[in-house]
Amino acid sequence: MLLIPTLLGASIIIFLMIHFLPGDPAQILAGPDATLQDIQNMRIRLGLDKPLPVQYFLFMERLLTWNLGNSLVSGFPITSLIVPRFLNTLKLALLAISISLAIGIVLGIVAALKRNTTVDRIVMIFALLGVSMPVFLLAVLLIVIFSIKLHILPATVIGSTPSIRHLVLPSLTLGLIGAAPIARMTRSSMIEALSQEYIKTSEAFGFSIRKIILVYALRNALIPVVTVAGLNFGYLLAGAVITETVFAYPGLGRLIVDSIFARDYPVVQFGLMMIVALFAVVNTVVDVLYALINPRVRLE
Amino acid sequence: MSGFLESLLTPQNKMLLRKLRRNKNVLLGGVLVLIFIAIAILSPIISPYSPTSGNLSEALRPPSSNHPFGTDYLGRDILSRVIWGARISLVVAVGGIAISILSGAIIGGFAGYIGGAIDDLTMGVVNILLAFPDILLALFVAAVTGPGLENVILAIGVYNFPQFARIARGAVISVKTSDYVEAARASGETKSSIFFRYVLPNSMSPIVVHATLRTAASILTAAGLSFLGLGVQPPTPEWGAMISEALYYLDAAPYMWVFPGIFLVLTVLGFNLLGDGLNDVLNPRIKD
Repeated sequence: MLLIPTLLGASIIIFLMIHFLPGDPAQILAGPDATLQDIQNMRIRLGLDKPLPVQYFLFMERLLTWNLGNSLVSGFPITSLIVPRFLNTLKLALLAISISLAIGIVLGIVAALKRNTTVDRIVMIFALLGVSMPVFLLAVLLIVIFSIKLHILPATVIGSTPSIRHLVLPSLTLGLIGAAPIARMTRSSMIEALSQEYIKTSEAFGFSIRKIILVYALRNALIPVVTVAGLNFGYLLAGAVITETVFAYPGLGRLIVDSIFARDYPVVQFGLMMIVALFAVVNTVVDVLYALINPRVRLE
Repeated sequence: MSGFLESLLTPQNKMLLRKLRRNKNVLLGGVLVLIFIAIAILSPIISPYSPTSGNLSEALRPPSSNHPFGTDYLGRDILSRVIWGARISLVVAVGGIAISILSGAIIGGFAGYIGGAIDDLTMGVVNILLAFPDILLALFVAAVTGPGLENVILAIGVYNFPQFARIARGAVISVKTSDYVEAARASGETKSSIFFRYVLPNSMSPIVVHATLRTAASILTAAGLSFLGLGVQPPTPEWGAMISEALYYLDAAPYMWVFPGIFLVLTVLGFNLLGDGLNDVLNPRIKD
């Protein structure tokens, strides 16, 4: 399993980048009027005066004991900030990936069956537009249509617990964008599956076309789709950063962006770590699923 | 002119050129990309007004003959800002991709060529970087380095690096085991001369395809960073930042987000079409 080394590596990279790239957090947090002594005090408060390996060790200790310390800005414990936001993002991501899979697979199958017709071309143009569409522009379009013109859905979340109605537009934004690559992948792997000998054979044996498509072709066609969907989950988490900001959705992405502006480095560090961990876990699950549906692949 | 250029090409390249011309995606994508590049290069000449200074008494005017795309909340001409925005996007995308190709091709290519422990270590780091979902790596770099044009270019470079390193490595490994490299080795050429004369040039086609597709993704990502306020800063005209400024005027002044939005989508679409088309022509084994 590559999960543990990946997470360890990611923690080192997040840690080192915050320390080596320009911009001294102590100086920034101490404010523009700070004296050298103030900056030094801030450095000690942040633990930045200790040698790097010690700092990394402390960072990992806090992460592993789930004792993340307090936010530099609000003073609240970071765990109490991150956990509810993380669950909100998870909710949004799961809903969005379901929308992506439903729309993407259906459109992909339709396009493959109606290959080289107008229907196929329209689906493919939509898929291409989906790949080329910035998340924030689609979000703006949906807000204008559903919130401003039709008045049927709220554009922004007020408070910290989003209701189902608040989830519709953000998850639709992410889901539609994510549907595009899944539709393209489903189409091409479905076309390949339908051209296989065994499909032609079963057709010749008089099995119903519907059964052939749904049972035999689709099962094989979905194997690469699983991988794309797993990768897509990463784009989705990343896209969630922007989507959550547009819709003022109280998720982890928005927390990270807000904390970046507030220079709340510990929150940024641990927030990023959570997203990377979620992505790595999903990728591992996808690898396992991939091996389950495709017996030719064996996990080492 | 084109006749003269064609006479310089080998028969194989001529055939490739003919295939490229016949591919609809290459054609349409190429046209969109060329228009984008032309607007970017010519922006000082074709933009009718200053992109950064406006007249507050003329703020939020809908499209008219004076201002074909209208004016924004500071009375700046949106057409001029959209035109200069092309230049910003081009600079960021080309700069960022150049950084990632150079570093990715050299580091990934070298790792693949040398093999062994260096290869394992490099790919270990690359795989960890790939564990950061897409824009997050760029977001992270931009967050730590602070906003600004150079930092966005750096962020785009870092975020594309692992992809190019991986592709370059794969390409080099597949070329290095081929017969003509075997032949060069047998005839006593040094490792570095084999790498630069045979392996690198023959690994270019997947890199070219990927560079085109990643340019599309990079333009989106850079616009996303600026939309969040972490990228290019106002008053610099940037498409993502323009759409973010429009958030308060979505209904009152739709022209503030519609025009930069259309240019952004068409530009990204152009690079995606071109990349898909090049992929069909250069990697002909994938047919559908």
